[in-house]
Amino acid sequence: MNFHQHNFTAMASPCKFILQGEVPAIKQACLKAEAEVQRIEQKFSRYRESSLLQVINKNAGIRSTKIDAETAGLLNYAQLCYQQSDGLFDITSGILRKAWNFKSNTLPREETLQQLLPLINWSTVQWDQDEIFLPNKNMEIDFGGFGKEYAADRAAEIFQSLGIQHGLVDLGGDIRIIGDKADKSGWNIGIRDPKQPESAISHITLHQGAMATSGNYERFMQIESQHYCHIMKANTGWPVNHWASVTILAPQCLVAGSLATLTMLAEENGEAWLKEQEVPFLTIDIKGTQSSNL
Amino acid sequence: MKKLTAFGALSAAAIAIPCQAEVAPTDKILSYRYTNYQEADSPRERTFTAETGRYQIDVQQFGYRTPVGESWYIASELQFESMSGASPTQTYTDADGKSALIMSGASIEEQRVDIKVAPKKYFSGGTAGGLLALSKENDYQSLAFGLDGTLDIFNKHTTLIGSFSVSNDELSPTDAGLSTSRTEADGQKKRSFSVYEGISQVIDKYSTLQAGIGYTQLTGYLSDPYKFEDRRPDSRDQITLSVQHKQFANVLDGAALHSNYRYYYDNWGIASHTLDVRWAQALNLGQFRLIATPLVRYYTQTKADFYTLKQNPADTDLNSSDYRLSSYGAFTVGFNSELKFEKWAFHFDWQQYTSRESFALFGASDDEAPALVNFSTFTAGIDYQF
Repeated sequence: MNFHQHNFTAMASPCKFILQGEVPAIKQACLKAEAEVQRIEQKFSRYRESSLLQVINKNAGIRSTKIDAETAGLLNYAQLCYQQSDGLFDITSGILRKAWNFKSNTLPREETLQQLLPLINWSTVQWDQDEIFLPNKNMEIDFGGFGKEYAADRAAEIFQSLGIQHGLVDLGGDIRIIGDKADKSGWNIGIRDPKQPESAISHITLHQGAMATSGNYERFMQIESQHYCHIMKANTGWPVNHWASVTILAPQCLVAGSLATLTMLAEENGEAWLKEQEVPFLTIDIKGTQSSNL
Repeated sequence: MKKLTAFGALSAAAIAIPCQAEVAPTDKILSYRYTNYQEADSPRERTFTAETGRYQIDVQQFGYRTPVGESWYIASELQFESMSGASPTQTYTDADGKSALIMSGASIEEQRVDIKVAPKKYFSGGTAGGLLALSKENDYQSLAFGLDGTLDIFNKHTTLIGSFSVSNDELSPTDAGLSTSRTEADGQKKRSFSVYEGISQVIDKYSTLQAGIGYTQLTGYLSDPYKFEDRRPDSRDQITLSVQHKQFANVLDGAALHSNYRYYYDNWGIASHTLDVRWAQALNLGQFRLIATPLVRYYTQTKADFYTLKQNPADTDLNSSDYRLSSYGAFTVGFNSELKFEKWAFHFDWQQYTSRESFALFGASDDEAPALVNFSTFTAGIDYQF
């Protein structure tokens, strides 16, 4: 069976679907799956005017915002990530971007960080199944920590519901398998080399499930030979600096992505924590040492 | 007990995120169905005349479904039926204690046209729909109107379902001068009112359960003007309780077991039980996807209080010898299939229905009901999606 590839951009990332099957059915399915990714982006984007997330953030300190079941489900998921990471993963921490500008090549001033830190505290957010209220006017939430992974799962589920059986969803490197290749040989996926992200350090064959990688090479700056990446600890406002990249395999892309991010956040404790999870992983620390149970 | 890992907890929370609200379908679908319904002959040893042939119906159905705007979906259907053959006019016990069946003779030759339009609006937490249906044949016309809605609660794991419908029918029997009952029936009205309330519950990833209660009230002229000695009450209250269970199974390319049970009771004295089990099996055959569904159904009912095999019952009494009001049981076996290929879907369905007095599980009697019908239906159809 031939391969059909559908490319598009969403969530500021190159995205692609690779599928096998009958072309007309696949093309239609691609449009629907892409529409689902765009829907999630529009609903949860921090940048798009009138997205639900913008409304929630604009209402911060003023009034609560009504939410639907999908949003409540994602908030519940974010809450669990917060608990499992002892508060290091916090969806109110996106505000740190006001202090960290990776294009400037300068570190933020400590007092700027100190002004922002009080605004980062998921445990003060009041929410339930129907509404959410951010108690401080300058507080913000965002789903940047897992939105893309969630969208990959949803897109794959759309394909599955339309009867597509062979293919994968790749949203900027977050992979979710729709179904094995027609000849059951598996999909060959490269894992980026943190030192040279445009080339692969390793390859794995996936028949099902998902793979996500969290790396220190996605957005970063190097100052006085010190590496500062975009993954910040919510309690200090400073980037993590132990792992170069963490790759996780899990049935759902959302879970794979969160476990990868949580491992990055746990820094040197991440290895033991990750082993407890009993999931396939490949980690590379900043010295370049690989560890894997793949 | 093993402690719950972050992986376990996050996986459970991820599964629990409900997908967004029910999405309005975005495909336009054109469909065509041809159905042949054929009743088996009546038993000659019981028919009064040599006429044993019964009904045959050919149905042609054209469907068109289309989205309108972002959240509306409209389904429409046009159906032509042509009926021919004979039907039972009366059954009675003769002087020798044997049952005799009078057939109408092959006098019936009729056409019927049905038009249905059903718009549906999709909301974030449910749906709201309507139905308008018009049916016309030379001796009968019917106008029906309905509303239905669904409401999702508890993270979409539970859905409340409600519907109501009304219909207004008018009779105009052919050859109204031929019998008193036809003359009487001419211009008579029949009305119905139905409500249904149900709840559908997702039990786990692989099974759902739906339970519901329905009530229908029929009023007006409910007798059959084409039968002899048929005088029925002018109202009928019907109650149904139903349970439907769906279990998905990982067999071959996916399968589902559907089990339905329905209890029915009305104030004419009829109580019935229906048990319906079907296995839907998906198979991928190269570029084709086949869904093959074998099914079996068992039905049993008790007779109506006024069901009688008297040849000349008193005109003041309610009475009917209609086999559908007798006590009987019936088995249906069938096979439905759908073959999908690109934008096309082909349908082939077959069912065989067999009814007997002795199949009745409750309230069986020694009365013969020689008019009890056996029939088979065959459907061939095609859908085009664009």
